[in-house]
Order: sequence, then structure tokens, then C-alpha cells
Amino acid sequence: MKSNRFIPLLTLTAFIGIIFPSFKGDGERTGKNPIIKVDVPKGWPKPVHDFEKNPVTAQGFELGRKLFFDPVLSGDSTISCASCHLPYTNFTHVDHALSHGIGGLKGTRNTLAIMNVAWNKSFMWDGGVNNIEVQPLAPLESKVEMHSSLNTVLPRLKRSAWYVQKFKMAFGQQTEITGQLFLKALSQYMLALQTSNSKYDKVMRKEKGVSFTEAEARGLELFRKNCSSCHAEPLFTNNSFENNGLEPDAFLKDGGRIKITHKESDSLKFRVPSLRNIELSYPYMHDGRFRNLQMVLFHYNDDVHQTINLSEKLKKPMGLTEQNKNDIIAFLKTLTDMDFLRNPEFTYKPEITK
Amino acid sequence: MRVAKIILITGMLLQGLKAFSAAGGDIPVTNIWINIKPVFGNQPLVLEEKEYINQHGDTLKVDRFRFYLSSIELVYTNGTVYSENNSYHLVDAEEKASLNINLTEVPVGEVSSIRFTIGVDSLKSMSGAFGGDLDPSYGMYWAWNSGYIYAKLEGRSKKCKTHGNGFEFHVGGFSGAENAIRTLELKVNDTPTGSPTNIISIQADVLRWFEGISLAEKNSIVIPGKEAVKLANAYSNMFKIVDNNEK
Repeated sequence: MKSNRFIPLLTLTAFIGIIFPSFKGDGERTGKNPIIKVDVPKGWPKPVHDFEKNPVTAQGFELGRKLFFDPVLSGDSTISCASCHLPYTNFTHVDHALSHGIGGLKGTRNTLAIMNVAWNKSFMWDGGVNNIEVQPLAPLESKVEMHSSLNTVLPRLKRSAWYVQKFKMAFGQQTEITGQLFLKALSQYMLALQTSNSKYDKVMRKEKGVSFTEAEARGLELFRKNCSSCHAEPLFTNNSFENNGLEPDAFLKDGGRIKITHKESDSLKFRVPSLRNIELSYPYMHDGRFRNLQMVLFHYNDDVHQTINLSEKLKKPMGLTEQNKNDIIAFLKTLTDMDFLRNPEFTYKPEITK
Repeated sequence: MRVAKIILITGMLLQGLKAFSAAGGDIPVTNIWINIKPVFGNQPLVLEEKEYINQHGDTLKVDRFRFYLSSIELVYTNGTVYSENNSYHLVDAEEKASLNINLTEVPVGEVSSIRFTIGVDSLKSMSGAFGGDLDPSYGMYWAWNSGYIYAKLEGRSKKCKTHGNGFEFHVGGFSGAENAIRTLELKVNDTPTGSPTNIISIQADVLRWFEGISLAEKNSIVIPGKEAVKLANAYSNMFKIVDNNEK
């Protein structure tokens, strides 16, 4: 019964070319918990996540989605993952430079988007988390985000007949709810959040009737010349850490990656984020200091600060005209993937959980 | 030497020469228990209640003492080595059951030494969420800087000018110079006389943690780095093979 949940989406896939999700084989299709195959679009690198070893299943995905939207994860049951990672805005906290977590407390960094995470080599702005499966522990335990722990959440889940049943459906009838399986379910949901159907993708795939405007085409050319050494296609990130010349914030005093590596050469370096769906994931930068893309372009062209470990790639001025900047912005907006942002399978589904 | 022989003999008696097929023919196998005895100096470790004095004269109580004992290997006098599969054990002074590690299907023979790691290998620390003793719900995993806490010692001392006079030492880290994984080898045949059992008793002495650490100066080490490495080096010396009857 439950395995049919994805069939409407399959139909959609055939129609508009959404890659996610499709089923691996007929044998598994008839099972109660079929494997959802996350495809690698043509021209994309191999995912970092090993889907053979840790596949995404229909029931695991569904359980993970429920957990993602459930405030029971936070210490006082007020904050869910989705409180800051909103599906309609690229799974980030739109219009919030810094997000508020439990008790209205504020963090020190801008909420990162959750998409195409199967290709991430590390997570968080400082790269401190090394695997998608353990990523949820960071917000869970942060005192200004969920202020919770596995030992807080697991007993709550074990008291819910609905969750007990769902864990069995996802991981087998003998299943007890454990920290490992809780994390695996959440990661399965996140691993399935794939965006690869923007106008840019369609143009690259040479789909009929889709082409760049003149401004977008000029923007792509400028983007490749000035931005893509870090924001590399097709993922629009090279998975590295850079100091992009922001004026250090005297209040936040955030050194970025040095917190993890303790190396001076990593001071002021932060993750190079993907730019997919950037139009909707404002504000920008690790501390959300820029409200719009115009401010971002102004920064890179006119306001790069010569601080320690400044990226080599930013040492030479870009020399962009106002027209150039507008063209780049026009191109960046072609990275918006409405099929991803409006995918009904990715959003909250009311369920009776008791 | 005696313990080594004891393993051989009782193994044969208790297991009735249960055999498994290995290269070169059937080798009889047995069960072995590794018994961890937490102590503070020459006294048994009693959590939360008992007061101890360390080598710097600091009076203290211990509230938590946990560590990962992994990659257990037995080295035989004939040069062969038994390696436990999926060998990860969370030893917790609070959990009596965790102090007895059962190795099953161990080949019968004369054991000369035991090898083990304090910590969790870097591959495991980078490969996602695991179950069993490696489940991240035991408070032995770092959320914001992925990786296992290899060993944890928490307690109280009037020397600590902190909330509740608490001190906390969480050791971990696997990158380059911050690698705090320690592998040890203890000679089993130096063991004093023991009763005829298949038990290898290992004492874990909390006192050794404080070598080079004065609680008046340092009450918190909770991230990987130089200080954690120093602690790992100190607690590497806390293990000693002891008589099974020794308290």
C-alpha cells in the first residue's frame, strides 16, 4: 500500500524529467519497502554518499520526512528541523540572517540549504560534520537550536506507537528505535532532496524550447570567468573552504574552519555553498549579512577585504560593470528549480501519530 | 605464563574442544572474558561518593569514567594472532556489564599478549551512524565536529573554580598531530598467579590521567588538540594486567 505513495511522482518524472525518485527494479517495486534510486544526472560526478551501502528506501524516506517536520526533536518540543529548513525556500530560513531556535535564541551562522547533499564531502559552514548520517546531531544538540539529544528524543519516539511501527516498517520487524536508525531515517530523507531541473539544467540538457535569454547567456559567460572556479558546475560548489573577503564581524568573531582544524591557514575560511536555487535562499553569506544578490555582487566586485587567507581567486579585481552584474544575477536566477521547491513529496504530510 | 597455559587447558575442558574449520585444519576454540577493573591508585573506583587524592595533592571525586576499547587482538606464543571481528566495546565504570568483554570462538592456544586500541578508528569516525556500542546516543560522539569521544573522565574537585567544582576531560581526534587514538600491547605471561579461568583481568587506573594535569590549572579539555593528545598519552599508561582475584 505505502509503496504506491511514489507512483504519482513517477508519472510526473516521466512528464517533466524530474530525476527523483524512480524504482530500482521490478522485484523491489512490489516489496513493502522498495529502494528509491537517486539518479546521478548526466555529467554530474559520482555522489560522495554510497547509495549501494546505505540506500534510501520508501519507508525510510517517509519516516525521515516525518522526523524532519516533528518538533518533538527539540528539548521543549517547539522547534523542528523544518523550522529553519523550509522546503519552499531551498530548505533554508528565508529572510533570516541568523535563525532563532529554542526559546527564541539566535545562532551565529546563516541556515544552510539542504539539497544535493549526497554530493557533499562535509557539512556545516566550517565543515565540522563529516557524514550526512551524523549531521542532525549538530542542530539537535546545539543549545541555541534544538537543545536536545538522542537521549531526549529516543524515549519520546519509543512512547509513540506510530513511530514504533514506522521504524519497524523502515528497518525491519525486529527493530528497536536506536540513535543509529533515527539518524539513518533523517539522512535518507535529506539524501533524496535532489535538485537538478532548473532552467540551467534544461538548457544544458538541450531540451526543446528552452534557451537562455541574451542577458542570461552573457551572465553565464561572466559567471564562468569570475565565479565558477569555486562555484563549479554542475553542483555550483567545489566543496572547498575559502575566505571570500568579507569584513570580519566584530560581534560574532567567527573564524570559520579554524574552529575545526585549529590551523591558522584556515582562519576566516567558510564553506563554498552551492548556488542552486540561490534566488530563494536569501539572505546570503555565512552570517546572512547580504539581503540580496545585488549586494553580493557589489561585495565581490567592489568591497573585498584584504584579510588573512583571502582566496587567491579574489585577489585580482573582477572589474564588472553594472550591466555585467545584472547579467550574472539573471543567470543565477536560472538555477531556480521549481519542481524541486514545490515537490509535494518533500513537504509536510499530516499524519496521525498519537 | 601460567595464565597463558590456563587458557589452553580450561578452554579445552569447558568447551569440549568445540572446533571450527580454519586453514590448516580444525582448531579448537574457546570463550575468553576480558575483565576491566577500574581503580584509583591502589583503591577500587567508586563513582560519585568516594574521595581520592591525586599525585598533585588535589582531592577529587569521579562521576564518570568511560572509554572505547576496540580492535582487540590476542597474540599467541606461536606467532599467530586472533583478531575480534567488529571489535568495539564501550567500557563504562557505571555499567557493570560493560566491564566484562566476552570474546567467543577464540582459538585455544598459549597467549603471550593482548593488543587493543583506546578509541575508535578514523574510518568508523567518518562513515556515518553506527549501532551497538558505537550508537551516538551514549554521549561518546561529538555533534559539531564529527567523531567519537575515545575516553571520558568527569568529576569534582574543590580545586576547580567552576560550576559545582566540576572538571571534564573528553578525549578524541584523529587528524594528523591531533590523533589521540592509542594502541597498546600488554604481556599476558607476566601475569601473577590466577585462579583457573579464561579471564584476562586488566586494571584501568584513573590516577594516571592526572599525570601532567593539575586541576587547579586545567578543568576542561573537550575538543581534539594538543591537550587531548597529552591526556591520551597519560591514560595510555593506565592499563595493567592483574591477578583475577585482585580487587
